[in-house]
Amino acid sequence: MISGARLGIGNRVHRFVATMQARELAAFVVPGIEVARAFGLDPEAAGLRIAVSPRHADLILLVGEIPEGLAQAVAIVYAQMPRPRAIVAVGTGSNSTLPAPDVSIALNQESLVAGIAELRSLVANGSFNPDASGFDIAETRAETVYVCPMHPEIVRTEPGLCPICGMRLVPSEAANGDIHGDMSATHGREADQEAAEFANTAYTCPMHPEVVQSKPGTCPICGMTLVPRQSTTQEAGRAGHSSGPTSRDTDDNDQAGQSAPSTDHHLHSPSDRSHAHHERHDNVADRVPHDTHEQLTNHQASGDQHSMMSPDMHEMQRDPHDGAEGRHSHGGTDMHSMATMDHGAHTGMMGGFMSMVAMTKGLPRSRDGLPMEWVEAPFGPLFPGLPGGLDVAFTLDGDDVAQVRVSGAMMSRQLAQTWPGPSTTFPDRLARLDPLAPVAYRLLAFYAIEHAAGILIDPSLARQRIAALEWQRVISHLNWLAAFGAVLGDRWIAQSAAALHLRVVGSSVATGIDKFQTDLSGFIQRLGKTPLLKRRLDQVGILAEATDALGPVARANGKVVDARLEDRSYRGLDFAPVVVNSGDAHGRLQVRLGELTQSLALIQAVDVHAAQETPPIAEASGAGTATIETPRGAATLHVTLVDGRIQEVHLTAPSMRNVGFVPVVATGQEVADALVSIASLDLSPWELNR
Amino acid sequence: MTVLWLVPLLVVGTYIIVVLEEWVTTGRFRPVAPVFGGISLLGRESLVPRLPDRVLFEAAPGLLLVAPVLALAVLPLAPGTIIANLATGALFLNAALAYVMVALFMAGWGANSVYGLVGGWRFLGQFVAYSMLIVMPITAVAMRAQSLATTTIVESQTSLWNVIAQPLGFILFWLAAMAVCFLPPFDLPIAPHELAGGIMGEYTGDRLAILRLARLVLILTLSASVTIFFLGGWLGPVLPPWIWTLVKTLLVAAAMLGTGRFVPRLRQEQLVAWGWQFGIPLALTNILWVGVTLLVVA
Repeated sequence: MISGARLGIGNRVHRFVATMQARELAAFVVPGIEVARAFGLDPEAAGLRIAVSPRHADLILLVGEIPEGLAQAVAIVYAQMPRPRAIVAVGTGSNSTLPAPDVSIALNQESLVAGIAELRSLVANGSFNPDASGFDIAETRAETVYVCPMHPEIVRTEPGLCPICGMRLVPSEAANGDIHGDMSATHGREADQEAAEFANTAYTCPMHPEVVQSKPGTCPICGMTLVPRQSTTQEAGRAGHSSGPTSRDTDDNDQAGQSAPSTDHHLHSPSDRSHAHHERHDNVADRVPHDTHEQLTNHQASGDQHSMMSPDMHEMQRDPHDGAEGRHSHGGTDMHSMATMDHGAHTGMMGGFMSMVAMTKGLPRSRDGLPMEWVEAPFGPLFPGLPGGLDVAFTLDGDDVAQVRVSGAMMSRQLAQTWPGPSTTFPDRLARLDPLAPVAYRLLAFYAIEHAAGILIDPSLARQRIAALEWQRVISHLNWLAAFGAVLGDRWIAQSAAALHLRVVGSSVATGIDKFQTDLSGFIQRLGKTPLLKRRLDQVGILAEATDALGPVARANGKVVDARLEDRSYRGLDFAPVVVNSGDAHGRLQVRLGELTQSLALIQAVDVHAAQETPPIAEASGAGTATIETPRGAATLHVTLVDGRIQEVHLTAPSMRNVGFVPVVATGQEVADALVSIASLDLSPWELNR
Repeated sequence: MTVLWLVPLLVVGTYIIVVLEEWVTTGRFRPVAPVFGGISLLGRESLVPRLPDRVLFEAAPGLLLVAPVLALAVLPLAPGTIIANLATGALFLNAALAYVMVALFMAGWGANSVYGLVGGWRFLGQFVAYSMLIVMPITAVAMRAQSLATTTIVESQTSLWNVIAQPLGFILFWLAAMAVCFLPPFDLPIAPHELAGGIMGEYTGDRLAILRLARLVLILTLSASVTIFFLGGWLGPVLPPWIWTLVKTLLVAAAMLGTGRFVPRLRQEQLVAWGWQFGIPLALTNILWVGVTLLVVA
C-alpha cells in the first residue's frame, strides 16, 4: 500500500487500474527540476513524466535537502494531488509535514531508476486500499456555510432562505481554526471578515455612506438594509500594502511579518484568490505606519464603504505617479469587492444592487485606464516556471503584473550557524549553500582560508581552479538555459540544453571536452537561428539602470563587472568578459551563451585535465577575504581563522543583490513576460537566505 | 449507418494523434501509453476545487468535446460518407468551432483559480486573433467551389488542390487552425511553465481525461478541415478515398504537432497584433487573388 492510496476495496477492476497507474507516473519535482538536474538526476530517463501542476502529478519527488520553510508548501502541494499519490524522497532527510516517503533512496540516477521500479510495484499492489487514511492539513480544511448574497451578515450552517429578503442562501466556505488567532492557519475570507467584524463593526448603507450605525438595521434615508463596514484601520492597512522596488526592505518586512511560514505562498492553493488577502492582514502592523497617513485620512474622512473611495482618493489613482509607484499603494483595496464579485459567492461588502460603474468605482486604475479587479496570486515557491524556492507573488491586474513581491525567506536553513568549525571541512559545508553551483562556493572557501592563513597558491593549482570554476559556469549556464527554454515554451531549447547539461554535470573537467565543445557550439549556433526568439525576448525584462547588478545581469547592461578581471591568473589568459549592451532578457541570453563558449575556451587554454585536488590548509590564524566570479556574479567571503578553526564568516552572494531587480523587471509586464524576465536574472534562491 | 462506421475511425484517429504527439514532443514512441494513461486517469480522484462555479466547471470539458465532434460531422471522409452533408457545411464548422473559446473560458473561470482565469482570458485574446483567419480563408475556398457544402468544396479541387490555388489562404488557415487547437507555439491558455496548466490546471481524474480527449479530437477536426479545404480531401490515386482523407489528416496533425517544438511560445500582444496587422490584410489579399483567378479562368 502506498501512503496516498485511494479508498477502495481492491477488487479486480481496481487492481487492473492500479497496474495501469504503475506504468504511467508523473512526478512533481520539489524544490524544482533544475535542482534535480544539478544533482545529475534525469527523472525522464527513469521513466517518469514531469508534471507542472500537483493536480496532474502521481507522485511528489523530493530531491536533496528541503529547507524547513519550504516543508509547509510541500505539504500543501501534496494535499492538492489527487489520490492515489505517492512520495519519493531522493536524498532527503525526514520531513515532519508529510507522511513517510513510500520510497526513500540515495541521491543518484541508479538509485532513482531502482526506486521508481520499486514504486511501480508498490503502486500496482496498493493504489486502492480499504484502510486508506486521509492526509489532512489545517491549510486545506474548510467547512461550508450558507450566506445570503444580499445580506452578508446572514450566515447559517444549513441551507435555507434569508430572513431579511427571502432569497435562497448560497453555499460559501468558512475556515476552520481559531479566527482570532494565527491568520496563517485560517483560509476563507469569511473568517477574515468575522475577525474584522468582531473587532470593529459598524453598519452603513451601501448607498448613503454617511449613515453609520453600530447595529444592523435599515437606512433612514432609503430604507435599504445596512451592511457591515470594516474598520478604517484595516482598510488603511490594506491600502498601505506596498511592495516597492526596493525589495530588500520588503523582504525584511515579510520575514518579520511571517513568523510562521505563511501558507499563502505555495503554488496552486485550492482557492488562490480568496486566500491571497491574508497576506495583507499578516503584515498590516508592519506597514501601516510608513507611508499611508494620507490615504488613511482620506478613508476616514470619506467614511466610505470599503469598495468605494472618496473623490480625492480617486484622483490620486488616476495620477500615474511614475507608473508602478502610484498604483502600488492601492493594490489591496479591491480584494474584498473582488472576491465577492466572483462566482456568486457574495459574502462580502457589496450590499444591494450596483451597476458595473458603481462596482468598479473604487478599483485601482490600470495603465490603460480600465478598472480591473486586482488579485494577488502566488507564483512560487514551487512554481514550475521559476527557480524552485523563489517565493514570488504577483498582484495581477487582468493578466498584467501590477505588483511584485519576492522573498527568499523560505529557503532559510540557518547554514551560517554550521559554518564555524574546522577549516578543513569548511569548503564542503559552504558548498552546501547552493546546490546549483557547489564547486564555486567550495573554491571560494579555499581562497578565503588561504588568504587568512597567508598561503600563496602556486600557478598550477591556480590553473586547476580556473578550469574547475569555468566548468562550473558551463554546467550552471546550461542548467539555466534548460529552465529558460522551458519558460519560453521552446521545447527544443529546453531538451537540448538539459541533455548537454546531463553530459557534464557531476563530472570534473574530463577528457571528452573536445567532442562536447563541438556539440555545444553547434547547439549555440542553431539556437541563434531559432525563429521568433529575438522577437520574443527583445525589450522584455528591461533594466534601465543596473547599478549594483552582478554577473551576467550587469554584463548584459554593458557594464564591465567581473571579479575575474582582478584575478592575476585570468589576466595571464588575456581574459575579457563578454559584455552586451542591451539590458533586456535577450542580452542576458547572449551574455550567457557567449560565456559558455568562452569558459570552454578558457579550460582549453589552461590545459588542465586532472581533477581538482584538495590543497592542504594550515593550522593558522588570521582574517581573510576572497572574491570569485560565480556563474551568477561575484561572491565575496570574509573568514576569521583562529588556530585552524573558522570563527567568523561573512558571505555576500550575487543573488542577494540581483533579487532586488525582480520587481523592476516584472512590474507592469504581462504574466509571461514577467516570468521570462525573472527567469532571465538566473537567481538562485538558495543563496538568498542562509 | 454512416455514423456507426465513423465512430471507430474517430477513435483510431484520436489514438494515432496522441501517440504522434508523444512521439514528436518527447521523442518516445510508445503505442500503448495512451491506453495506460487513460485508464489510470479514470482511476484517480476527480477533485472539485474550492468554490467553483460548478455549472461552468462541469460543463466545460463536455462542451470542448462536443464542439469538435459537431464540426467533424460536416467533414466528409469519402464521397457519400459524411454524417451531415449540409448545404452550409463550411459555415456550420465555423459556428461549432466558436464554442471552443466558450468552453475554454468556462473551464478557466469555473475552476476558481488565478492560473485558469488568466488562461481563459488569454484564449479570449487568442480567439480575437485567429477567428477572422479561420473565416476568411474558408470564404475564399467557398468562392472557388461556389458552394458552402464541404463535399462540393472537395470536388472543386479535382483539377488543382487549394493549397496550390491559394497558398496564402492555406498558410493563414494552417496557423489559425493551430491557434484553435492551442498547440505550441499558440499554447497560451495552458502554458505549462507560465500558468502551471492554465485552464486545465484544476482538472483531475475523469474530468481531465475528457478534457484531454477533447483536445485531441479538436486537433483531429482541425487537421481534417485543413485536408478538406486545402488538400483535396479524399482525392488521390490508387488507394480508396477514405484512406486518403485519413492519411492526409494524420500527416497534417503530425506536422502541426511538430512545428511548435522549435519555436518559443508567442507573446499575447504579438499574437493579437500580428493577427490583425498582417493576418487580416493577407487574408483579404487572398480573397482578392482568388476572385481575380476565378474571373480570369472563367
